Amino acid sequence: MQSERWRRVEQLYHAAMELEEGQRKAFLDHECRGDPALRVDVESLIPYAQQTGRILDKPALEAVVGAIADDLRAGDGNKTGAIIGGVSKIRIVEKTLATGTKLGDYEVKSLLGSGGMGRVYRARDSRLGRDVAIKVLPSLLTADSDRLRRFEQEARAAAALNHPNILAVFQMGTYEGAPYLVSELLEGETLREPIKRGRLSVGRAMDYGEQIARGLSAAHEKGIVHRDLKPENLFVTRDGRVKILDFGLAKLTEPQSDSERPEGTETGVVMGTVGYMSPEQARGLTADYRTDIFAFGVILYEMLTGKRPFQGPTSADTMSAILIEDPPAVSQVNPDVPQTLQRVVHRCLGKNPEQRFQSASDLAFALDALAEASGVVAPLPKKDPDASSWPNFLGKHKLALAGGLVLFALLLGAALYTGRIPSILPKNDQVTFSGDAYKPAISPDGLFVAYVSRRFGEPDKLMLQARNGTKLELVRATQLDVPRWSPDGSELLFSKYEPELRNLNQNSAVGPGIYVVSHLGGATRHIFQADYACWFAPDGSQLVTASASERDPDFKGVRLVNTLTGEAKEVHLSGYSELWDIDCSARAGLILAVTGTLGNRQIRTFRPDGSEENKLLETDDRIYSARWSAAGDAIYYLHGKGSTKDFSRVSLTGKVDQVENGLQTGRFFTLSRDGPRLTYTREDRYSNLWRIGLPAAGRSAQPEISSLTSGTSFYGKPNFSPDGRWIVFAHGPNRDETNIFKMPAAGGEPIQLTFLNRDWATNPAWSPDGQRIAFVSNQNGTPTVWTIGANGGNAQLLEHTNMLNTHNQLAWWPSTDIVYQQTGNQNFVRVNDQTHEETLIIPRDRATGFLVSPVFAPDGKKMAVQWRRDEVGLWIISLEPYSETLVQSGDLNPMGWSPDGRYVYAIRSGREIVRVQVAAPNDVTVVATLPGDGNDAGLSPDGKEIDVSVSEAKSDVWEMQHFDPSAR
Amino acid sequence: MATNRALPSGVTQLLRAWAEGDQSALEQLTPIVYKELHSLARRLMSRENEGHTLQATALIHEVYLRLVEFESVRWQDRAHFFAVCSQLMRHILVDFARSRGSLKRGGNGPKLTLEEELIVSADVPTELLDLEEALTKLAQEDPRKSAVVEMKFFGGLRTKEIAEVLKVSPDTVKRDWSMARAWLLREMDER
Repeated sequence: MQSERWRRVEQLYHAAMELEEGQRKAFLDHECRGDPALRVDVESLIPYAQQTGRILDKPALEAVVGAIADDLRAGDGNKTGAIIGGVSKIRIVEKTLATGTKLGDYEVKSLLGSGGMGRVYRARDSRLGRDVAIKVLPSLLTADSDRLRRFEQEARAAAALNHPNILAVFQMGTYEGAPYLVSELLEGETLREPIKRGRLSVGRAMDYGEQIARGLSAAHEKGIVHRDLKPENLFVTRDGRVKILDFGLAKLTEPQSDSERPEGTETGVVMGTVGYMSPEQARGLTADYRTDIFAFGVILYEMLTGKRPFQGPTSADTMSAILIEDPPAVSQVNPDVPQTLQRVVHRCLGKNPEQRFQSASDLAFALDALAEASGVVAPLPKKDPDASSWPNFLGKHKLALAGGLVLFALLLGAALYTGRIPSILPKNDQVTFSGDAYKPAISPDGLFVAYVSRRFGEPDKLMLQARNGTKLELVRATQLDVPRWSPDGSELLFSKYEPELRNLNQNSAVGPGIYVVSHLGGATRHIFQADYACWFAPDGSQLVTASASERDPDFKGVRLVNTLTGEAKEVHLSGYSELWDIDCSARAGLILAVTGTLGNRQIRTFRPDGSEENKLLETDDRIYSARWSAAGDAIYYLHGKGSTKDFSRVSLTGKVDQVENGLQTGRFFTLSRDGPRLTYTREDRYSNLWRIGLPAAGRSAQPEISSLTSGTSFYGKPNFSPDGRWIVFAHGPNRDETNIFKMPAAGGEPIQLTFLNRDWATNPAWSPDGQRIAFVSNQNGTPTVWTIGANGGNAQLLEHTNMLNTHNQLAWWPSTDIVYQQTGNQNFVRVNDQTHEETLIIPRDRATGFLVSPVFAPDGKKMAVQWRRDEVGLWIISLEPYSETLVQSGDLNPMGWSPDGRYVYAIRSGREIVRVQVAAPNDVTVVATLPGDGNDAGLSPDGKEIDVSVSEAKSDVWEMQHFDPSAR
Repeated sequence: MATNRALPSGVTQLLRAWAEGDQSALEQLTPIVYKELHSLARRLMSRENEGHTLQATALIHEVYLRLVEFESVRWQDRAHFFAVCSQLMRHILVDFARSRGSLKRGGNGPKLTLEEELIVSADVPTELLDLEEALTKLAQEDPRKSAVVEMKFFGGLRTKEIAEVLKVSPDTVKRDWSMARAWLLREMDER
């Protein structure tokens, strides 16, 4: 490859280098006669030979290590960490997606632009026939799965805001490991462009400002903070609407929470765009929604003056200005800006968050009022239909108020001046950081939080955490639940269950018992056998207890138990099938119970003697928990369908109000009695599919375990096709929003078969001929059985099939029959796929308890099932004629039969896969230990492989102050 | 689709596999090397605080020593082995620079968000990318020179070691380096 020319250049170069500097010219003159190009080629190399200190002069490794060290010195360690964690995927970042690339339902059309936070493409939504924008984030930013999850949570929450001033996000997904966001496609420009062209008119600046403030206000109300607001993140559409972009993205780049920070770094990493940073951000302190108010002030200032309030020659100077200097008055730069507006701007720019507007809605309100009062006419081209849905109080009352507006503006100005705008937003603080904290209870004096620490494969622990973070372990047992403080804060009650002691300890004979322990620790005291309880009498002498109907089938109601004597008095209730939760209010002298009948829930209250029973409300939402207000005059409850949750309040007269505090995570909360505080959990749970290659029979080799999917979403209910070539499974962002997918068993791209949005479809079961797939879905409100072609198409409802709201209750008989469990019927029903004829499987007189996970033997004559009745375990049911055998007791969830029908495979206690010999009970072999909490699994028809869905969960306790902004 | 979860085998074996064309070995090697670089950077800082500075060659050899089971590399293989290490380093360091570049420079397309004035430091990585481009060009012109640069700059090898790998005299290596260095710098500046 070496050309003649190259060799000649090299030869002359070396020769010239060996000469003294003064001789080189003559030498080259001579050698390059008639070839001036050659001469230039050689001569131009010489100065480079003499340069020093260039990149090549020390090894690359040193330079790179030096760069990392620089980052570390600058406190940028987290980012390097992210890079290091993500190296194997770096190439994805570099790649531009080609036209025609498919991301789910979207086909990439062209690249719109790119930036540090990813590339943005125009794409076609083939299903809805519209164009959308897709932002693909660099995977290296998101290699930290924890952080990615937090970002997802926030982006999802922001997407759910559905506000005209916030970019609408339709969907999120991952493509080759890189997360992407699908959003509406906007036409227009970022706010940076008009600002670059010069300052905006006062009217336009106020209009834009008000729109931004409204968007922020909607987000803040849900507890979402932007943290990186700047003109580049604000988009002005052609019709003059402002949209806030990139909610949640700042999460990806900001420092991690305290517990995750490497030791020795006390404050957070300074990130973000310097000019729009708030003083608290510049200091690396916690930035709440008032950080957005500050950035807003900077932007409003810039719109009005064309200049930033804080601007130095270097980033460090700018930051110091933000921390120390007062910016020049707006009117000094632009005399057209009225005093009142100037006050609004400067009030946003307070160094201390307390000095700023205390909410974005106040800000929007102030701007709106000023616009009206000063007679500045804002451009009004907002013709979109959704404009009418704006929460625009003034808009509705403009006519009525017109006369009083000037006065109003004066009053408002006075309020601004004296700093009295009464509005307190909910404030969230994380209490635990260990990812294992459930069921929090805040002590009456607010100084302690008790919670249950739950880790996979370990016993539960009842923990106590003080305000300063000190922890104390109070109790340890297989299962602990729902701690509650005694009224004087000296004791805690909780439920405890140790199934392995079932026969040894009489107290544990039937399910959990209620115990009491001092908050200083020590011995526990058994009070009564029940699932849950609450303190009733203010002196702690009485508890109210209740149990699930499964455990206590002959009694409906609660019991009033004396804590010293254990004496119990029954309070009967009726008109429900299950009791889900109770809470007591000594103040009101009332007990509340959450009860349920078919598909709905009620909250009822009653006196301890059973009198004055009152059904306060009935809803078809799930009620996750319900708690008395401190004053005993209302009940707060967390409720919802699927993954959407709302927080509401019902008064004793039955008046229901939704409480806008952004609480929509977790399932459990408690209220403090001394102030407007509640503790709750933020839970994340995700599940992935794993494949276990079984060693051949008789071999004792270790099974091979490999992961089929990885991510932070839900993959569950794997099931092999009869020919073993496909697996079908449920997949979605979480357990409550799933669709049915199939994938080649040997690996490959998943194919989506159902297309539900916000509903679930799960538990897919193949028909014996492999042509159809049955599944359970709640798409028409209640769980019902559907079937769909193995290659997709329209799903068909099996009429009259009402399932229980559980996920493990469907199988396909090795014939044309589907078997499912019917609501209100502790039995399985066979329904013919064609004739829809139904037959009960278990004789009526035997049908008690609870049946889960039916799996048919290859010959269709036997069924393995987990049966929870007097003895929980794996049962084999022979069908014709009917007989039942308990093969092995314990928490065994069957998933498949060996091809010869001799063995049943089952998941035991979510931890391991066992093989049970059908003919020889007690012959149980552990086949594999699972890498996490096993949910459900499928066995390949050849009996050689098991696909299993394994979950990991994280939960932490948070505290919210001012949780009810409307109760003041 | 199914990935084997077996523990990554020894670095030496991975390097061999990679030298023999197994690209997946690189994927396993990269994070290991990155981790090493990171801890090296930390130690570098702590030594600086104590007033020491670290010799470049010492640094490189420390990385190799920590990464590779030296005993398992036969003596006569060693030179060749270092050459492979150099290639690996080139891959990884350039990848690193690329990832940093995309964070800091925000790519070349129209800017959208977030890339303005991020507080970050050091432009070494961007220069490294330019060098990589020039080096690829050099390889087309003169593969041996490009190999010399690879071993010296990315691999931290001494002249003698490079001569051994390439089976040329140390003087030739020196001359190759001089010419390649000048040529690359010119190439980078002319871009």
